[in-house]
Amino acid sequence: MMNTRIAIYSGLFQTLPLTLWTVPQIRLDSDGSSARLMLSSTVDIIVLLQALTIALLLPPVVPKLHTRPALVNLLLMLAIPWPLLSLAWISGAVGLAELFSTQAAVLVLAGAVFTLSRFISAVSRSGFRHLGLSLIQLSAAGLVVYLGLTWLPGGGT
Amino acid sequence: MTKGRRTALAFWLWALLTLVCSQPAWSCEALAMQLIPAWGGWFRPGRTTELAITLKAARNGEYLLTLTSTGKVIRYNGYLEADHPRRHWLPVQPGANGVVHARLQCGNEEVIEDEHYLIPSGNPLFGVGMGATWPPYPPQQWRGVTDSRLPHTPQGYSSLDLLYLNAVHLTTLGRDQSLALDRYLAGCGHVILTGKHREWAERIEGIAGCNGRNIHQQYSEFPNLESSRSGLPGMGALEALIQSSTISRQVSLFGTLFLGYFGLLVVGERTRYKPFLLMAVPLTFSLSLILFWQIPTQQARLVSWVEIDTDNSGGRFSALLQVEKLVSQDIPVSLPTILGPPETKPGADIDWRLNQQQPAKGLLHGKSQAFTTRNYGFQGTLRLSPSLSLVTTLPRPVVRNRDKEPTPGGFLAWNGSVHRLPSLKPEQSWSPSEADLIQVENGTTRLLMHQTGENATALVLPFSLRDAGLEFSDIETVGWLMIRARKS
Repeated sequence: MMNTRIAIYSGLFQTLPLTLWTVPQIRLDSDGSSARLMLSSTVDIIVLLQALTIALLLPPVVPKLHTRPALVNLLLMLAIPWPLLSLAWISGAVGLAELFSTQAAVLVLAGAVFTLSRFISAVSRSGFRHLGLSLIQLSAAGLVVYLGLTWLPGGGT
Repeated sequence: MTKGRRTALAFWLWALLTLVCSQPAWSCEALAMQLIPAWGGWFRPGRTTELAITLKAARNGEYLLTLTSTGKVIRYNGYLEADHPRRHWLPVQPGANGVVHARLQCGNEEVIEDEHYLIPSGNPLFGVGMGATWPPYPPQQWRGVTDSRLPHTPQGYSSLDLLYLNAVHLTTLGRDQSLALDRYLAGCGHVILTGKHREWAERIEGIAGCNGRNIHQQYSEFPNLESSRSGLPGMGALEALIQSSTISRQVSLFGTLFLGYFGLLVVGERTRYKPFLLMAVPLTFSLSLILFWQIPTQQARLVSWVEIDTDNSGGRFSALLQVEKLVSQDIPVSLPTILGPPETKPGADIDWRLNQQQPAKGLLHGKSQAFTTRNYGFQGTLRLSPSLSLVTTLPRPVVRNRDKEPTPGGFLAWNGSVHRLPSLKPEQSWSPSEADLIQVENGTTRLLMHQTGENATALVLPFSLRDAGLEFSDIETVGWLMIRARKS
């Protein structure tokens, strides 16, 4: 069930290890490139984790969710890494437009996965429903990995 | 409207338009700029030289003069009065190709641009100035250059390795030229002095650094010179003397702040607040970070190392200015003009701004990204009279406080080891003993040993450039004064 607890802990699982890895390693240097490089990679990883979490976690729980609270909790999960993304923006590691576009893409993906999963669960019988939702999981995850490798500035690394 | 009236109206409109469009150019009309480099345009790569710039205008007005060489920009704001030419002497550090681009602006309009090609010399330079005749046996490996006028800034001597002077002509020097020459002499600059002038000979003896070792009275054989610039600690050595900064500590605080943020989220979830309310936590934290970044956070620290011979009044210094930034804004650092434009490694940008209204202060601008540390190097000379004297009598050297104030404690390097020098009361003397020997080295004692060399004696005391009368605002200054011993 996509309740508040799952949303918060999913967000924390995405953000906490990355923050613990990134922030202590930020050092001042002659052109600030090491901090920017590190924060830029962190942004890529966060976006990938957000998208993969949506692709893998959302389809199985969609049939049990009410639309409005589910979307609010989804937004809460996506908002938890925003301070780290803000740090990346203000340090010049990523542009604001780039940051907005990636977050918008993640939201679009969430909307698409949610709608498709709801549609599959409404029209198919229980045996085919699990198969359909698994297919959505796999195809969404495959799409995320493919886009991550081609679209993200750091190549998803 | 008849055709004739239309033509007349068009004419008047054209005339009005021409008048309006040409107005800014009129205010800069008859502006002229002439640039003359010191020492015939010769310079040593990586060192500074001087440009004499004459500006003239037909009307009063403010101007901006910009000198650009590889990665380095020097801007000078001033005011020109009609038909009163103004002459400036500005230090420049040309790039390896020697190109210096000059641009003179009047108001917002670009008026004059000029490009000068200075000549880099791989060989040491000797300058022949002020009425001195060309040396009879100029050496093969040196490049000789003449200049009928001596530089007006200390940086004008920076490219020279030896100066050939006629003492008789020194009486004609202006105030700035005299001060610049004083600083060259105080900085152990090599001089061959011909001609006899008692007053100047005495003055030079009083000024010259390194106890006058580099003042050669007559030309007989070209002296075997060691470079006057060598010997002072470089930027790397000075960086080792800087303690960890507040900004570095602030960066390490971010980790703690983020942990607090995560803790708040967990507590929020436990207290079962609505998701809408919990959304406020990441939003507020993100906004706080963004707002914090609008505060211009910068820390500038200057560490200096001054070297002087005991009983001498001319000291040489090298200094390192370290500017640390969390934000990507351009926050200027105000520095005494006498330090001149800083030296950096090739490729690093310098933007040094001078203003006619405040001739004693220069502004060092730096466009840099967030999380940067910029190092700027300075070298120069100072006039100072240390309160301690150091004499290497046998069997042990003697340090004496000649001042009326107690001196701070420091270190003495003698006989290959370092002793702790205690604070000395007025007129108190001290000699090292086994009890003062220190075993644990730090950055200062290591540098003291390195600078002292083998079989030599020197002491070092805390001394900031503020103690030498230089004024700094918003800059932490620390440093050391090294006094070399006079052999008894």
